[in-house]
Amino acid sequence: MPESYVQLPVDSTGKKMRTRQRVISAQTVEEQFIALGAEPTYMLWAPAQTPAQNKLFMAVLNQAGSGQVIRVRKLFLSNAALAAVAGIGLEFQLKRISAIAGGTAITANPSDTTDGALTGVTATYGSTATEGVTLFSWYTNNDEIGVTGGFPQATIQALTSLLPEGPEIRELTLNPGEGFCFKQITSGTGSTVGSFGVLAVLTRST
Amino acid sequence: MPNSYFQIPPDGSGKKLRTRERVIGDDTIQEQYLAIGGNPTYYVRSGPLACAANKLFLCLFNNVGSGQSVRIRRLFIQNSQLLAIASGTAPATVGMMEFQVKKITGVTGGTAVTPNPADTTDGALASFTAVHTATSAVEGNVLYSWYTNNDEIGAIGNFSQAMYQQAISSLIDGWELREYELQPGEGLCVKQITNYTLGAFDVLAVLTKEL
Repeated sequence: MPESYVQLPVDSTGKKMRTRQRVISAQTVEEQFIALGAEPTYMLWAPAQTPAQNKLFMAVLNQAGSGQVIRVRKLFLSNAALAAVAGIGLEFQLKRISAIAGGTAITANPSDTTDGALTGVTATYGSTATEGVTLFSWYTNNDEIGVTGGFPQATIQALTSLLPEGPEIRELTLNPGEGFCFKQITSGTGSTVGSFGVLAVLTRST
Repeated sequence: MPNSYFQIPPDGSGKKLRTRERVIGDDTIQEQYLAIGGNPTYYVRSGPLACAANKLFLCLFNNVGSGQSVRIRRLFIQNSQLLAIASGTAPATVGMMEFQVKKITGVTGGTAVTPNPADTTDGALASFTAVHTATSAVEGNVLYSWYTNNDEIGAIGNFSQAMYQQAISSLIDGWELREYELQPGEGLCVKQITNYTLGAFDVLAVLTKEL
């Protein structure tokens, strides 16, 4: 693949497109700067909650008729157990939902306050929901996060978005009337100790 | 690398390309916005399945004549063994094990699993077969092996292997690397090789349909 270039007309009198100038293979060439446009972005934090089978640690619904599309960009499960407990292996599921009932409201905090509040979205924890398909599971345990650095699992988990992402991969998209929940599946002895918080990062498109 | 610019003709009356305006040095310049388009994306999961030698945890097959190309963007092999298991006599024991990611050109039997769209407006992924626990597949080349163990995920936080494993796609990806692509009549399977029957795994694939 030899180096090459496209030669533009001589500068005109209109707006100036930003570049940086380099010398490549004895040619002075321009490399154009671009900007990646960001959408209004919101952080939703469901605070630390005690595990229980079928508990919805977070449920988010883009209300029917909202006239907007919500994309779930990141989703983190944070072990928040600071005191020692005797935990077990736990399964959570990320599921689609179509309605939410009850629960405690979660505030969607904008990354940029000039974007305003996120309206037309219901976000809760500890609610019930009309559940749909399971998108995937997430496996962890509810042991405390550990008092020394030799217990890195909680840190790895808290730093890893559960959602697959990348170029050309579409984000989990909530059209009007659609939502998601993050639900504990596992029951049994040891399944109701510890605590987890959930952080979702959403963007709004209109 | 000095700052520079090229100067375009004065604004016309046609469509408007979005830019942001900045002042760099003495010049007011434009930086053009760029959007990166996603393709229709689908999650396919096997669900947690008990281990067994030669078990096909997940088979993905782009049907012959589908007229579409499907790319496998991510492939996660998740340890889903929540309860403690103990070493015993093979094959009912705990130990190191191998999975293989293989090409296939056909699949028979098994339990259908649904590719769920990331955006429901993209609709279902048609002309595509996804099954777990297939009876058999017409297996081709081994793309790579994946090594792990079948021990439970651990009830305490210093057993971090399972967390790494489920968070990191086993498929290699990066700029200028072509994704693993299923043309019509092509497929892929995740197969257990080692003869162990304890433990459980859940395989999650993220697919895109090329437009």
